Amino acid sequence: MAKQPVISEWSLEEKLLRLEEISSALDKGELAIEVQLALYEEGVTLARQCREYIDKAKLKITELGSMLQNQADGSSEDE
Amino acid sequence: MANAWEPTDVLTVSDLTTVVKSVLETTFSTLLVVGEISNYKQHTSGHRYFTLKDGDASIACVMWKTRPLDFVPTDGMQVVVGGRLTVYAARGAYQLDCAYIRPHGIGDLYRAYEKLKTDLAARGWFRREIKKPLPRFPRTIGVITSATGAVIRDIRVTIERRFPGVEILLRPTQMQGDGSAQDVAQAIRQVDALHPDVIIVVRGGGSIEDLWSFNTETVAAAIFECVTPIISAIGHETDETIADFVADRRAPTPTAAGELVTPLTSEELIRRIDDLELDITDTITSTIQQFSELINDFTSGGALLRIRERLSVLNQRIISQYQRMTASVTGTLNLNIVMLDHYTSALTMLHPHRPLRLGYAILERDNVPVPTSHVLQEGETLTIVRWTDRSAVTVNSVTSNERTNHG
Repeated sequence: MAKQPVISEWSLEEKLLRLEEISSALDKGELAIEVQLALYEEGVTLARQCREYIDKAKLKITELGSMLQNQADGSSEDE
Repeated sequence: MANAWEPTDVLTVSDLTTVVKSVLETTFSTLLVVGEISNYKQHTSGHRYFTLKDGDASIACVMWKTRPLDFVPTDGMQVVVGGRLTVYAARGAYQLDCAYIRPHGIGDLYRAYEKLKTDLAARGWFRREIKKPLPRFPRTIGVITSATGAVIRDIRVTIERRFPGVEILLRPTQMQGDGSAQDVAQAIRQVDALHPDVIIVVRGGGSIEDLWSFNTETVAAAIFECVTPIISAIGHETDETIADFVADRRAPTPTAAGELVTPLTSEELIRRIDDLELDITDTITSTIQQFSELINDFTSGGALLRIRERLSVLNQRIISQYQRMTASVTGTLNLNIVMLDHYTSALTMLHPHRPLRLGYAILERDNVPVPTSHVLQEGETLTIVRWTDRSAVTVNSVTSNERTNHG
């Protein structure tokens, strides 16, 4: 089995995908009870992290102008 | 014109030309000239030579191959040329050194637009199959537009309202006028190099002249080569630019572009997450319920009861099997008894002593029946066996019955 990535480092999209995966795995009900409980716990943690992320989210705007100026100077047009 | 000139110095041709060159080149260092192209030639060297004229005058023009050209100029086309005047001393000639050319008349703009559209379509740049899908949850969004004005504000408001958990990388860009095509193309390449999740190139509409940069191959190529999924929101809904065709998606307005990069709002996302959590909670609850019922059942003796029930069912099956077997064996036995009776009576009928009961007798000698083939002799001693007795007799006389032994 591959090493589990640290969940908190996942993107929102990855977390949501994992949550969907867990939901359908539990739905099938073919897993051992221990596995089901572990998955459930993971799912609840993911849901909490997602909600926290969305609640805290603030739009950030970075203007690239000055940052790219040096780059632009090197390759600027000759006019 | 009468000039009261008193020349004191005599100038050489070179001196004069140097002065003329200096005056002309200084005075006309940045020019915009409108006119009609004639005698357009592209040399094998890549440089382009033509004449710009109107009703009354003409001027020689050159456009060096290093200058980008966004369309194919043809004779008779009205163009605006940007450049400067240069003097060629050896010939005493002056010409316009063109930095750029763009079609001037509306008709010419449309012709250039249609031409580029046809060319790029033939190259497969508009193909549906090469369009990149937009990300479901972009985290970083590159925005190429003017730093001021309604466009960036519309995008900002839309994204903030729908899904604020993103970072916008704004590359302030010159969206119209001379040099804007180059700036837009450069902006796309710079932002693409930062690997955002999606890029929006956006402008709030305008006339075909205003939008000209987005109908150039320069911008089209930058969009085509962009690795990041790119949305174009340039023209109005009715007039699409070449940029709109090449981009992976097109948005009719800046607000629509903002909605495309936030396909799920925060509320929708929270609802989806809540639903999923409810789902898994329901599932795990019912699993645990089933499990505890199983355990309860066991501890309350229900399992034992069911084992007993099963045993009883098994027992019933064994009994019925036994009965079926017995019945089958008994049947066979009965048949055999009937057959035996039949054969017994048949055998009784065939017993050699049966005729004795009817009064017949057996002739024996030395306790063995005398066969028919035996010819009796006078004085022979025999035994007559009847049902009731045996008697020893002596043969007195023998007379043949005239029958063969085989009768």
